[in-house]
Amino acid sequence: MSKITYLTDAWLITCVVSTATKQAEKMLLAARDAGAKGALGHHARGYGERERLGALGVAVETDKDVIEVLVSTEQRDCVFEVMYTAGGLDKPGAGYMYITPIERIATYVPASVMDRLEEAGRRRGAL
Amino acid sequence: MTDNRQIADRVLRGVPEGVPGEPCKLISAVTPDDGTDLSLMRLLREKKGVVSASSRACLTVSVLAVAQAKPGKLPEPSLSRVTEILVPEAQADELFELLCEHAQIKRSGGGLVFLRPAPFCTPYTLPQGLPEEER
Repeated sequence: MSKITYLTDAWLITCVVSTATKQAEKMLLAARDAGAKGALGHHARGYGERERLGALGVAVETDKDVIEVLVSTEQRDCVFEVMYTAGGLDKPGAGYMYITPIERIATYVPASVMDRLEEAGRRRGAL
Repeated sequence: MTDNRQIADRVLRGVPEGVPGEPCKLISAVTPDDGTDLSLMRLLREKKGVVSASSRACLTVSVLAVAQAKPGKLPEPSLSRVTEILVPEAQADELFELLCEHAQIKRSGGGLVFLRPAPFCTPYTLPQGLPEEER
């Protein structure tokens, strides 16, 4: 029986953006181009720039997309920056994003990838 | 208002005073939408007495799907469940391994489990003596 492979040195980038503006897709494409592998997303409700359109100044809930991307430390700043730029988060009300540390991840790593990693580790040790 | 500000100050300083709780870990399990989330929560409740868990639906783009996607396009996402379990720090490693085993993480398409810190969490207990719901 094979052992579970634990990955460390990882971070979770979470972005909360408006569904209506379709920023999520642009941000995911940017993250992928910057080297992020995989993502997860779900809908949520919150407040945004559209709340001012509510009658009598009453805030209106707006649909949000929440995207989460797992990245390594090397990728973290690069992926964060390209997602921020792609989502246009420098504009007021466009959304927000944050990074949280991950202590450990367990997932399926194909044997071929494990072999390559072990080989690279051996080479580094020999240098 | 003053009370709220005092509480906020205490939280920013570290552990809030007068609020029961302890440092915990948050385990998130991303699993296929095949009932694994319910099975995980049932296992934790029945075998370990952990009830501070919830699950939600989400769409995921997996690593292998990204590799197969056309340039400039996102691959078709798949429906998954994210189960979030708050566990005491002392039990975190044991429960993390139990979840990985039970969810069969080490197979292709099995999903992933990750662990992150939750510096302060209030306890969650259920009332005693309530009858079990019918399944």
